Amino acid sequence: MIKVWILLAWLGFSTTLLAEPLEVTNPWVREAPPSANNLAGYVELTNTSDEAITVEAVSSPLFSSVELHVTSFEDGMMRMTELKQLHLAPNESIKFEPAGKHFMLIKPNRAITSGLEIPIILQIKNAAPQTVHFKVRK
Amino acid sequence: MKKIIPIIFVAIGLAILATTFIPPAEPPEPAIPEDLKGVFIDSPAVRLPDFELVDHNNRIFNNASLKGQWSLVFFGFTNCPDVCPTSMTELNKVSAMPDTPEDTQYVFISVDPKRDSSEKLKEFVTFFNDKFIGVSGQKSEIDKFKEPLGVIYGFEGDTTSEDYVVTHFAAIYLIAPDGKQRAYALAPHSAIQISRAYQLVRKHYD
Ligand SMILES: [Cu+2]
Repeated sequence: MIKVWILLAWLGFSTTLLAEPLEVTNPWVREAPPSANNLAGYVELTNTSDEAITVEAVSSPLFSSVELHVTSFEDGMMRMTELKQLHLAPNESIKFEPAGKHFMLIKPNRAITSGLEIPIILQIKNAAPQTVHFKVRK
Repeated sequence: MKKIIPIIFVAIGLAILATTFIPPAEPPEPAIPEDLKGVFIDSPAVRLPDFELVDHNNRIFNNASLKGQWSLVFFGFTNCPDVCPTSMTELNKVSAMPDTPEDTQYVFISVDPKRDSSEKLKEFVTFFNDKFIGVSGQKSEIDKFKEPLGVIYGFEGDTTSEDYVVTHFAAIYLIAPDGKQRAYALAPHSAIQISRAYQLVRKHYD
C-alpha cells in the first residue's frame, strides 16, 4: 500500500516537473509536393502559466532551419516577415494559421510525407525547451 | 408633309446605321454583395496583350489558350510555402463544388521562372489537381501578361542563390471566354469567396 502512495506521489511530482509551459492545439504541417524546399506549420499556442513566455528560437532535426513568419497583405501584395521572438502574456493564445502566422520549415533533409510527425523544438527564455510534434497532412 | 417624309427616311437610315456600326454598350456590371469581401469587377473588362508562355507540358500557352472557356488564374511561385498552397487548395475545393461549371480552366502562373522549371511546375500544380495548368516562361512575356492585370511582384534576398523570397500580388483573376479579364479576388482566398465571385460574374456575362 505504501508503495502505491509513493508511486502516486512520484507520478504527481513528475507531471508537475514535466508540465509544459505552452499548451499546444492542433499542430500540423501542410503536405507539399515531394521536391518542396519550404513547408509551413500551423498550431495554436496558449500560455497557461502565470508568467510571460518568450519563444526565442525554433528548430527541427528534419530541416536545416525553422523560422517564425507572418504573412501580411498590403493592398493585395503578399509578403512574409520573420518574427524574431514570440511573446505570450499569461493566458494569451497565439494562432498560427494559413495565410497568417506560420512556422516556416526550410530545406528538409528527408522526404516529408503525409502522416509523418515532425518534431519542432521551441527554445523558451529562462525555461527548458519544449518539443512539439507537427503532423503532416493535407 | 413633303418635308416630313425625307426626315423619316433619314431617321430610319440613321437607326440602321447605328445598329450596324455602333457596338452594343457593355452590359452593366454585376453588383457585389456586401458580405463578399475582396472581390472586384473590372469595368471596363481588361483586354490582355499578345503574350506567349509555356505550360507544364512544354506546350505553348498564349491568348488563344484563354479563349472559349472561363479561366481562374493565380500568380505565384512554387517555393511559396503558405499563401500559394493555401490558394491552390481553395481552388481545388472550388473545382470539386457541385455548382462549379465543368468547363472551367485553372491556371497557376509562376513569376519565378528561374527556379520554376516545367517539371517543378508540373509537380506543384498536379499535387493539388491533375487538371490544373502550370504556366511560366520568359520574364518579358510574363510581364506582358501581368501588366494590365496590375500584378506586382518583386524579389527579396540574393537572387543569384536559390534562397530568395518572392513578394507578389496574390489575387485570382476571372478571365472570360473572350480572353478578357472581368474580375479578381484578393487573398487570403476561401473556396466560398472564389465560388461566389465566379458564379456571380459568370451568370452575369454568359
Ligand atoms: Cu514563410
